[in-house]
Amino acid sequence: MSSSSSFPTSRFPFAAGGAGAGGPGGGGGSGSSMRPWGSSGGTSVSSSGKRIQKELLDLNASDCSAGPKGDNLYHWLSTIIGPQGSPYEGGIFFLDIVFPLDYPFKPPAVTFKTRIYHCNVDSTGTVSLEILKDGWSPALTISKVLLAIKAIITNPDPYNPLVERIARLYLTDRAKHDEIAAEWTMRFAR
Amino acid sequence: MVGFFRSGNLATRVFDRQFLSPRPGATVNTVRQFYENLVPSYTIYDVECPDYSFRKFTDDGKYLVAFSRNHQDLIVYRPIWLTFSCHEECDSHDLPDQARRFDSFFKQLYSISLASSNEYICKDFFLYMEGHKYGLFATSTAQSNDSSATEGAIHGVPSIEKITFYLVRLEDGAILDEKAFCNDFINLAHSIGAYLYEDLVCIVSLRYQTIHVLQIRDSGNLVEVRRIGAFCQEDDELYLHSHGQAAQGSSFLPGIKQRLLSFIFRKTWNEEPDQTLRVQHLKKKFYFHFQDYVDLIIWKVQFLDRHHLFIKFGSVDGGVSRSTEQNLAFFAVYNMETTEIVSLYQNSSEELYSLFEHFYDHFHANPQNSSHGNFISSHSNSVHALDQLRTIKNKASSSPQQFVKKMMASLPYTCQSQSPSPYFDLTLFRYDEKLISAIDRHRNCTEHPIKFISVRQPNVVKFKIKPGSDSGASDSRAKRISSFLFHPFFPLALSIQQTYMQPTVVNVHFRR
Repeated sequence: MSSSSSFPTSRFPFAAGGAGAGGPGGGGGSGSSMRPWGSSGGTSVSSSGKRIQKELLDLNASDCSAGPKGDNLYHWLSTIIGPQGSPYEGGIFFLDIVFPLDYPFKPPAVTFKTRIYHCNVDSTGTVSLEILKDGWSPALTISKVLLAIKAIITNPDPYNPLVERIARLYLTDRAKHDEIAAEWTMRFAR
Repeated sequence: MVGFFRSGNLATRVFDRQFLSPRPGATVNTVRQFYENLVPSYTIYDVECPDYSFRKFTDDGKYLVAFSRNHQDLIVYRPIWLTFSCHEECDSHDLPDQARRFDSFFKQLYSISLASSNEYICKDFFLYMEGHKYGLFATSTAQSNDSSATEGAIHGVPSIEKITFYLVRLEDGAILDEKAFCNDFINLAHSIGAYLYEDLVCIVSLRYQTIHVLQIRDSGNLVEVRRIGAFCQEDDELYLHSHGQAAQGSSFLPGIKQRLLSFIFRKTWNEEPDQTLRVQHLKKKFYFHFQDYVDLIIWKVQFLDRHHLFIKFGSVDGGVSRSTEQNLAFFAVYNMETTEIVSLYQNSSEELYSLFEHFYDHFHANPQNSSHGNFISSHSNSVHALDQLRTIKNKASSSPQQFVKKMMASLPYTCQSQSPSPYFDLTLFRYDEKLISAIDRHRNCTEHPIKFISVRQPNVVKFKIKPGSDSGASDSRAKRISSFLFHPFFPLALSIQQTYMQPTVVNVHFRR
């Protein structure tokens, strides 16, 4: 597969330094979930757009990478590679990130698109993280959020669980928990 | 092998065979040269025959499969060789009238009803399991274009209320088992949506994006052994339930898509060794197209061996329409056991094309050890077919990418779509591939007979096949479609010509 010529609409819409956050969305290869981020014209939209764009440029190479899906700046995807030595090793976890229009004053919504056996992720993929709720601060960035998610993958927080059963198992029988988590990774996250 | 026989004369060849021995391993190839002498050159025009639609000779030559015109009954014949006796001297005159009938060539074994009132046999669908002499047939209700959104179904794919597969023992017509798919869509035309490999059948549900792998047991049961789509392993769903999680209604990626995306992610990740550039590379090559990859649908699947499936992914608008070669598509090799994607190619991939050119026979592996099936000509086993391919390739040298896409449109291979008849063997005969070929398709008809020319003696027409009536004086403006059924090893063929609003004309071609 020569990905250099993959999709005919292939182009990188946000070249370095481009500040045209108010420009039209363009007809890229994105899916149906395109949001008219350029058309509403409100200043808040534009400022959130600028902020997201800045974060996009500031992303550096850690183990979690991210980027907008198609040319919708408000809808990103991220990938977390299962950390080595953890039961999630060998897994590739995809995360859906949706920025609200009043970002960064409201936190982004992050959901897992890949099944994971984890006490802080429920059966619909919702991840519970303090900084994504009341603990959100406009000073936080998406790379910090991703780092935090990566941190709870390695070290779950069983005292504030979304799935009680998994948290209980994590506290009472860690070996069993890790065994199941590894099995889930092999089945659903490879 | 070419120079083995010194003469083209049949008697001389028989003598030659007595005292020359062919090169080791080449016996069958040598013996097949006798087909140059034994050709279906005699034609009985417009033979008196029942008004059925004749589908196919099975690859072992034991059965001729036909369907009734109302598409509800299956009729199976045994090909028998013409025998007759007459009072006068036989050589001097034409065949007696009583011999010029369909039933002097074919003996009806039985007729059974497969479809009930609102169901119809799909006349393009038939797969034959040679070892057990089982036939796989399909019936369906009418197609409704109301593709109302059902949970789990994808948009833009039509729906058929009920599609049923029947496993029939061809020996006696006993229906051994059946498997129904409801409110689903399976591409039954030319058996595209199903592939038989040894005792395994895979059936592609386009609507629910699931590959059903069924096993035909010796007992004649169709058992679903695997279901690939939302999940990859057969007990994944059970496993989820046992951990208290519901499988339905979640927004997780389907199992096969997770495998596909993680494969593409890893590949894109490894393409760029530099840490800082990698982020940009992933943004451009992976995240930007993420939704496009998610939207890809499974179109067609074949087995490469018992563990590997060759899957074509494409966009939803190309799935049902006909000319799909220009659309973007991907080909994946998927291992069912390890649930891993082994490799992935785009339909313009030079690498895949070179595999196609050099190892084509691996794309339609014929594991059933049918001795005739091994002789189906392809560009990787016949220099003549390779020549043809190279000619087309050179003609297309201005747009090599279009050429590759066009060639890749024939993948995955359609199961049992080629006739193993020696008269299509390109080492023995040449013929106009526009008018006739081993691939079983309806073709437009010309007024002229189709010539089969000897490869060794390029000026010698060995025999001609002419579909349609003898006179040829009928209205030449009417569009005629013909199809040809060749026996896998006898010099026997049927040509069936259909003209709009006129009765079908069936000719029997055989060696007298």
